Amino acid sequence: MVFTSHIFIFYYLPLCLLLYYALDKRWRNLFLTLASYVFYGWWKPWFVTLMMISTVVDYIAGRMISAEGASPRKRKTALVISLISNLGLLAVFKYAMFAQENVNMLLKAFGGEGFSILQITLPIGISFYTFQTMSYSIDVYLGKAKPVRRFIDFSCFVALFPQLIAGPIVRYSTIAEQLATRDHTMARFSAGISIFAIGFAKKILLANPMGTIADTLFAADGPMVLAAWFGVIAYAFQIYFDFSGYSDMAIGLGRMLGFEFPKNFDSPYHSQSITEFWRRWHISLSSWLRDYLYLPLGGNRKGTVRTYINLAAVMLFGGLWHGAQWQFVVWGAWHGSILSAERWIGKKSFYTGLPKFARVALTFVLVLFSWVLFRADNLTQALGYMGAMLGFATQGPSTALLSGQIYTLHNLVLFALCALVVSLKTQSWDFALELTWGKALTLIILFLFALAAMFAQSFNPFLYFQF
Amino acid sequence: MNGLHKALIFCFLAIIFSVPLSQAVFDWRSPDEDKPVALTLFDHAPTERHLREYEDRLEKASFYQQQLRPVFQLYRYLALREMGDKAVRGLDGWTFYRPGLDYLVQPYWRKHTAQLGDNQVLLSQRSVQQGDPVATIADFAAQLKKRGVELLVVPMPGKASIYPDKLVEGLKPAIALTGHTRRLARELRQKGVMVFEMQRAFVEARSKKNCPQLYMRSDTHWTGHGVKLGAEKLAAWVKARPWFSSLKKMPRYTRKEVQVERRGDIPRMTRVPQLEKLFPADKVTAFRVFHKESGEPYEEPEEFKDAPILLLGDSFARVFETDAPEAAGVVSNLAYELQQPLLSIVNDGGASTLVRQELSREIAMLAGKKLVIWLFVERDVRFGLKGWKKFQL
Repeated sequence: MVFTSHIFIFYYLPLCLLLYYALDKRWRNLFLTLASYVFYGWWKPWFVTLMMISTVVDYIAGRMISAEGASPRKRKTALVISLISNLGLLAVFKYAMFAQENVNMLLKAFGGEGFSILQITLPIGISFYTFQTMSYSIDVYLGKAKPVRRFIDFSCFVALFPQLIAGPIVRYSTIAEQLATRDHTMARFSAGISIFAIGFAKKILLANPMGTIADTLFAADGPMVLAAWFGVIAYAFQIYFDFSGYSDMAIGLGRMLGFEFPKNFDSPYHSQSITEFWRRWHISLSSWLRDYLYLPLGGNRKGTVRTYINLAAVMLFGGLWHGAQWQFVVWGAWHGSILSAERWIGKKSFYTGLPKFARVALTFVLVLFSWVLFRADNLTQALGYMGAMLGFATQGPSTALLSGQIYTLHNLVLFALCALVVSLKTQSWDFALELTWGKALTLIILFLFALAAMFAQSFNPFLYFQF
Repeated sequence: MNGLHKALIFCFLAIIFSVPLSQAVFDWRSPDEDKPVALTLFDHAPTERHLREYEDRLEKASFYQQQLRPVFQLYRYLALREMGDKAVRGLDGWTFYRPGLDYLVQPYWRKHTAQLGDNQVLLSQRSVQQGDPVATIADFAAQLKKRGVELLVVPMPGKASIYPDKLVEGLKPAIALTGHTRRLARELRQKGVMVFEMQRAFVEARSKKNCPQLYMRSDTHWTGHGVKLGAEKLAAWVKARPWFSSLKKMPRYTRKEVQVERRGDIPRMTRVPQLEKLFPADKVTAFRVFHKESGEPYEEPEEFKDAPILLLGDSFARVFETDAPEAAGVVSNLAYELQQPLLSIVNDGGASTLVRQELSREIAMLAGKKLVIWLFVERDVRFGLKGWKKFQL
């Protein structure tokens, strides 16, 4: 189910809130688990079983790891079972097709005959919930989290619908106490509404129209330089408002249900370096990768060369996490290389000596090139599009007509609006936390306006659903 | 402060609860529904298909969606000139069909398909399933040839190919803008298929002074003058065929100028009646064809064998022919130019596959035929309804 859909806003959410608050506190986690299964299974009912398997395996693994008198070997075995089962799910459902394609390509390159590729549908949100459950087993193993006692609490943690499909990636330790007991206050509920309404408006009013511009230009036959930049900046706005909009909605819904989820975005396009960008973009993923991959690999404690290798490895993995396609691998390598370069250059460089505006602009341009890799259908198209941005593309016969399609009043006004919102210092999180009557009225009008816009839009799922 | 929180919570809950509750009341009071649409969830097992159908049903039945969508779209248009997913507003009140523009500005179909790796198959099923128009057309031509019938393929230029100056200021109509269709023609000729490049005739006509308007401002199709020009050019090609001189010649048809008012199909695609009204009807001259003897508007012969030519076409063959004023479309006008009766199979948007499917079901229509003219709008190469499937005649 999609947050920005008729069925979610007008049927699922009211019913869910009504039953949740009608129930006694001790039944609420069970109810949330079942409601989350309905939410998740709405797309393909049988995929719920995958989540259940992941839940059962990790719950048992957690119990085995923390069992009294458990030998180190038994604890390690339980952890390995958890890792294998989660990574196995990802391997089968996310990476098997990619592997088949590459084997096929190699076979053909060496004169062999290719085979027909087994088509596997990617269950939405699998990358998110497998990471969450893995973090639980690892934290329990490392003693960073206490094992969960009640199976239903753990099921609720894994399935919790607000952040199930596209994050933020919530670690068990973050909400362990809230699963057992949480406060439901008016202030928290209304803050939840505020953040939810802002996220909803971001997605419907800004991300979707920007998506139309980006789709047109990424599909075009050799767009001209200005158009190519217009397209990729539109995509940068789309992915930011789409993903941060989803995160806002997830955080808002969480608060309505008494949970506090961590902040996932912090004005990423204000970053003055790629290093800073990764502290502000998809914070829950970058911190997950830092804590569960970069630091266990040695972080920066094992010498300069090893640090660069670790950074590159983490970003490559991050790229693959996003999608089983070569352009995501290159996307990860791009970020990994820049992160390493920034570390190598250090603080006394030409780059850091630039005025703040120039540093922000330069960082944004570097991010834009990476977004080309992210948005393109494949590596060839990505390189072609980058060529168009640099003026090297061969224009199609009718490229001149593109400007009539993209430089419309509607597109230009919304593009400018996105630029304005991105440049604002106050972000949704801050706006929603200090509520005033004026803000409350603005939020309700914004929500109503976004609802009317939703009625006029066709189905438009979130970009991060594919991950 | 507590009052503020309470007010915000109340407003939010009022919005999300009032919509389904009032919808249930509307449904109950509606004579078409025996129970609220929301409760039909339990009519079927919760399979993927049933859940999608349920969600669609819920949205379509929504009173608020029906009421608010047109209002939002209307005000969006008034404020920002945005016409939605299917239409683009050009200059001087002209409008364009978005898929027609997509065909022109996106890569040629062959390049587009080649760009899709295996891993894009699931994401772009539609493109992959479109099939190969060149192979399908060549196959059709070969099958007709076996039956002693020639095939002439006529890709019709979309409006933007002929009126780019009404989309982008300063852009002149030029044959260079129609590269994809010229490439298709080249590839077809290499396979031995005869192609009539209508875009050349139209671009040439537009370069002349006092060229009448060839396409309608707010419609995807040609005007009566466009139809007439197309019929004249096609007739000239047909008359040059060796077999044409052997046909029985007699004056069969007359033609009369009539004035027609036509509301464009592009504003209609917005599904907002108030927005449609903002676009005045095109006042168009059409050329209506009559049977010389009876004075009745042109009708196709009852006997298939009496017509030496069969025209397969899409909505370009339908406008003014079965629409008002009738008998003024390309079929009638071509019949007039040739003074020969024509048969036709016309399917809106279905000229890539459906017209051939219909022909394969009624193969007797080929009796006595010398030529099949297959006319389809150029964008169908990428977006034709049902793609480019092969059929055995």
